Amino acid sequence: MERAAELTDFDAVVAEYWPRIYRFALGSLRDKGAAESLAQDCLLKAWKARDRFRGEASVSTWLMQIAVNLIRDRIRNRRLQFWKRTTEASVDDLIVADGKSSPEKAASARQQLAAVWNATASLPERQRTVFLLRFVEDMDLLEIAAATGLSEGTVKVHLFRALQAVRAKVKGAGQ
Amino acid sequence: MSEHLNDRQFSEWMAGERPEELVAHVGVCVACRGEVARFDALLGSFREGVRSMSAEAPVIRVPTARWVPRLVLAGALAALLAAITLYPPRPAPVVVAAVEVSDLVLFEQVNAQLARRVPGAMEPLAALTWPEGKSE
Repeated sequence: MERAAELTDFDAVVAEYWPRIYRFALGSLRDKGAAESLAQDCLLKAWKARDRFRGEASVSTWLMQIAVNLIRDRIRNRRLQFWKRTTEASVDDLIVADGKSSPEKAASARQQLAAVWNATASLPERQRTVFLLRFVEDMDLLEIAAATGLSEGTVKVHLFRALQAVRAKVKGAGQ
Repeated sequence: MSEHLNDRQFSEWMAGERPEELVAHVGVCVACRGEVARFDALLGSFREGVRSMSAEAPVIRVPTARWVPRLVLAGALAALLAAITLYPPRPAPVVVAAVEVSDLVLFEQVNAQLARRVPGAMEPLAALTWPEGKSE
């Protein structure tokens, strides 16, 4: 299988997918240290299971599937590990200055971006996962369904709800 | 369709579900088109923001590396516990010189007791009965 052959050069797989897995983990966990650790665990799991990869999905979808499961476990465990130190990613890390907008417009854009960031943080886990996979990772609904193990219809429902919640927060922030 | 997009239709549109009816409405309704474009741009900024936030993704490390110090520490603790179990601390050494001194004193006392001809309480009587320098 062509897809399985992609795993023979695992160094190349790591180089290509490490930033993506880290980014998805960071968006989900909001903790740089935890995101780094999770991306490592994800690639280590993939390395150990590479012989069992049959290529039914793309390598990218397969890795995201592992990451989604690890994030789910991590979120569950985190409730029991409240004493652990975190290196929290804040909305200040998110802001992209374009240098063209007026200060007022920049402030308004910043406020709205912060609203989206905070809204995604308060979404239920599945809605947040689907939202990030769709709007940060640019995955289509079928890919998201494969990565999350949900049906396409369920993915749609989670996505609609997430969008409604995010939009409501943005409106509340003064859009 | 004459009214503006409701929340569900708006979400459908943003999720990529675009039935002809919605496409037709957004094509002619300036308000809905503007709303859709603004939110789309906002999600685009969010995507860029998250991507730039993670652009400085840390370099991958060997996954076991961070466990090494903990393993070393755990090994050292285990070795310490084993050593304590196998070789319990010895009692404090006895001061030999003091024992030797006390033994000498005891021997002298015993010798003195044996050297008496009569029990100590009877010695004054023995002195009256047996003149000095004479044995019984």
